[in-house]
Amino acid sequence: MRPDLGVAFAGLRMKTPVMTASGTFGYGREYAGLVNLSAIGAIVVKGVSLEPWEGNRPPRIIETASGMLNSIGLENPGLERFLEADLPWLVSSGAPVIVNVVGRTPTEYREVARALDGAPGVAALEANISCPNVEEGGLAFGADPEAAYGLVAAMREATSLPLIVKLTPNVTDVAGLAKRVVDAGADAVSLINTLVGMAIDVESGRAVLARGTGGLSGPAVKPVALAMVYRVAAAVSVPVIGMGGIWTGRDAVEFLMAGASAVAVGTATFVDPSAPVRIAGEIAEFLARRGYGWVGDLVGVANPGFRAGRPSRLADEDPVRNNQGGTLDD
Amino acid sequence: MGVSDNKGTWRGRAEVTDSRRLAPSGPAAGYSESNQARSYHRLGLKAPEVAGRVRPGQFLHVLCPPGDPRGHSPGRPLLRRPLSVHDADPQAGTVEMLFEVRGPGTAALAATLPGDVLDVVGPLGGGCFPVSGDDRPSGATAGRTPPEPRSLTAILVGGGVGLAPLLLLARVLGTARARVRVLAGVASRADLVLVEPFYALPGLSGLVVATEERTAGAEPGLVADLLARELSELPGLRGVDPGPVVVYACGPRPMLREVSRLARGAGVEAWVSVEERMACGVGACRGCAVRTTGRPPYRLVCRDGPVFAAGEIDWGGAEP
Ligand SMILES: Cc1cc2nc3c(=O)[nH]c(=O)nc-3n(C[C@H](O)[C@H](O)[C@H](O)COP(=O)(O)OP(=O)(O)OC[C@H]3O[C@@H](n4cnc5c(N)ncnc54)[C@H](O)[C@@H]3O)c2cc1C
Ligand SMILES: Cc1cc2nc3c(=O)[nH]c(=O)nc-3n(C[C@H](O)[C@H](O)[C@H](O)COP(=O)(O)O)c2cc1C
Ligand code: FES
Repeated sequence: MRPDLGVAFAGLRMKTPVMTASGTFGYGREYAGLVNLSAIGAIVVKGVSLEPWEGNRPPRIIETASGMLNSIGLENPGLERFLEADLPWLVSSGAPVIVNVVGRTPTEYREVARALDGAPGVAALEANISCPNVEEGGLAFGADPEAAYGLVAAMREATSLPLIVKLTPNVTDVAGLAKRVVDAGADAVSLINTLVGMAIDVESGRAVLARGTGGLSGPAVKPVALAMVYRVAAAVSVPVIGMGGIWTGRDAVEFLMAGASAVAVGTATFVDPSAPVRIAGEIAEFLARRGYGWVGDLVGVANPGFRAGRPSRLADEDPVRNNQGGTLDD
Repeated sequence: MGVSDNKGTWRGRAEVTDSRRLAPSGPAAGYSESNQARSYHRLGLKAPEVAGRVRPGQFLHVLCPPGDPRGHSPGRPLLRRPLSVHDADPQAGTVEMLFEVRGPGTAALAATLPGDVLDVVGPLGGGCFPVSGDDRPSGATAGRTPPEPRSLTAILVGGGVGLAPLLLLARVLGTARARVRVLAGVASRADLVLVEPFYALPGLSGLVVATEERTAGAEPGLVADLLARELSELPGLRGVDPGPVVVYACGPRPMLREVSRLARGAGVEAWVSVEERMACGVGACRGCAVRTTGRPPYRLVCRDGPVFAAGEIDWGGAEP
């Protein structure tokens, strides 16, 4: 029998536990034609702000050992354009849509959350309080548990959608931070966003990225991300979504075993556009090989202190099909 | 600005049909730092899906075999590398790339052998060098129909490995019966291998080469100087054939900036192919932004370019 990859948690229903990581998949459309969007567990879009944001000066990215630095600065066309053009297109593609929300002030976060509350096709919100590449918003909230609490509480008031809060690894006590956002009403937490890093061009004697520092992602961050998921899954009661450097089904299984109910794939998609679908297929192969019937049975098995929320099975009569296994040419 | 959904983009395995280091021809070049440093490579791929529809200026996003063959860069290359299509043969179903070996990605590609297979995405680039009315350049000039190629004098300006995409452009323009003049600029004698493919091209109306280091058979100086001269002679040229003149350029940023300035001064339309570092190559990551004179200020090299109207690029500021 084919192993069951479906998971339901925090009000989300996903046919695979693999989603895209915000900022690495645009608004979905960019990858249409290179991967079957409807086979992805959920599509998390690039951060959306109340007004359009320009983003940072180039250069914005640079490859580093087993990873990359980015300093995009949350360039996005703003809420209005997202609601008019990007969202309807993506909803029609068939994957659950999770909207990553950014703002400069708690009021902006709340306004975006309110506007998305009734928008057709939005499955959940992800509050990005962890971007290291902007002056205001982002880390300014995410590195201070009390500021994070206030912001999440403001969003909680404005929406009845499932609210995921995305955490930064750039703090000493990620578990303490996670607890505060759960106190404020988060339905789930996701981590990690990128680690602050930098590269210097020794020929010019200047930082490579125009903004000096950026955020590190890719395989280089995986062990750090895994340890943080492990710690948070032993500290909070809500489900955890794990990400950071996932490249293969094996990597994803590590995150599930550390206590994540689902995973997100970011940088890997730049290299392999079908990664979110391929990795789900590889998880299924692992489950079959080890005799697991359901992916949820992996959650937390390697974490003795595990106390986070668990996924449940999608109901048997549910029409969502397991539709994974894309090929190189799809 | 419409969001392209990359529906027509192909991803697949392309067999390497040809992989060779371009060695300088003729008598051995004398020693100089730059001669020793630069190494160019030509890579042929079997990719009928690309060869049949690539437009001049478009690029492929190539997954380089993992591991720097020189062992200098652990954990790299990781991301794909963008490379322009240098030439395409729709009948044979092959495409060619011409690149300079610069780091772990291009070094890994240079180490491939015929029969190897590469994972390729393409053709990419929503803005190509406009040749016919079907080419829809992006941005401020979107919707403008390029001049009818038959009446056109096209001046192609290439600096160094920036000559790579101009070969396909020259071929396509030539087939469309435009008058094609190529101005090529390279650093030194050893870099003349970059110009060789143009000699084999039928029907070029002119090919002028400048080298920064004095070399027999080439003019001393910068390619921009050649363009300045060419443009100053235009009134005469136009006297013979009053067709429109369009400049197409690819090369280092300072060269493109100068080309842009000269073309504007002469009142001639100019198109430039620009570079930025890329991650996704398809418009998803917003990593390859280039600053423009428009609003909003940034456009994406992979999605809106790599070819832009010269007047659309913001050449000033602190950017290198
Ligand atoms: C649309 C496009 C088309 C291109 N076409 C060609 C081509 O036809 N032939 C060719 O030789 N090169 C081309 N390039 C540049 C080529 O992509 C880079 O040289 C290559 O990615 C370098 O990879 P690497 O691992 O060998 O070196 P890296 O170690 O990644 O880089 C080596 C050096 O090149 C610089 N560099 C790297 N990537 C870029 C970039 N995208 N733009 C500017 N500088 C960069 C780095 O700062 C570094 O100094 C193109 C770039 C773009 C964006
Ligand atoms: C180019 C780029 C852009 C990103 N933009 C966002 C963003 O807009 N919002 C966000 O919450 N995270 C953003 N991230 C972080 C990713 O979602 C993810 O948390 C991180 O990259 C780690 O996962 P990975 O190693 O699989 O990429 C971005 C990452 C990259 C590489
Ligand atoms: S490389 Fe990702 S948007 Fe251009």
